Amino acid sequence: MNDIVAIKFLDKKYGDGAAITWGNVFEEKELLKVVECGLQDTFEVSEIISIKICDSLEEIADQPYFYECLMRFIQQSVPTKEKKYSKWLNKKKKSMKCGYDIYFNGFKARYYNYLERKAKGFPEDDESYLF
Amino acid sequence: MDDIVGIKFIDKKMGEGAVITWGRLFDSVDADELLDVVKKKLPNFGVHNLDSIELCYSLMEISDQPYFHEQLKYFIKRPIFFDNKYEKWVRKKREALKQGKEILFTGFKNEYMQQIERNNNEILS
Repeated sequence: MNDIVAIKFLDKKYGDGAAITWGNVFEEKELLKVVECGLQDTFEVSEIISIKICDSLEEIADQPYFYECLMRFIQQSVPTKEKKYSKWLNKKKKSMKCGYDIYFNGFKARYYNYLERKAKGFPEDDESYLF
Repeated sequence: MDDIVGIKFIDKKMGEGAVITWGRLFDSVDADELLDVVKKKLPNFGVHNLDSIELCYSLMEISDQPYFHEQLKYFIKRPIFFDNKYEKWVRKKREALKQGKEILFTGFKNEYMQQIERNNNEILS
């Protein structure tokens, strides 16, 4: 697994979504559980039907807040020395379990809906925006 | 509003363009003051006939602009420290923006496409 990983999921209500987080902190199964909990607690994404770890970040590069989220990870350095690394690892384990360091990329459908409404000049009676 | 934002505009003559800059400095929701500050800087980029200007949904909306990644790099290199120095940082950045600094232009799409076309034609001829 890479240092920074993409997690893709499908929400029953809002459709396609993704998050970026640290890889190598948990085993795959545990990572998915932690991310799912984090998404529920922090971003109120509560109806996840399926969730998976992506092969690369490229898979979610079309998500609305991809750049904003990726930047947060690029700006942080991962220590390379063993002592510092294990300290960092424990810190990240704790923070991810509390829902931190899991950045939600927004819902694609919501973004496309916004673009569509914008193209139409934001008609006020467009109820689909409120979904 | 996000910490780093995309602002898209249309110039009557040059067409579509965008800038990347710091968000949330003047207000965390209302973009009016930020847009006013950006507007003042636009003539420096060759925007003399501004038709419209708006805050983008996310950076994704301007990710197809010619120099998006080059300009984004500038902001990635400058992390924001959300500690007790944050307020001081905000004041400093507000001043910088008012002076027209840290508003980075991502180029005109039309101009760029024309340049690409010219380059392709040169290669083919």
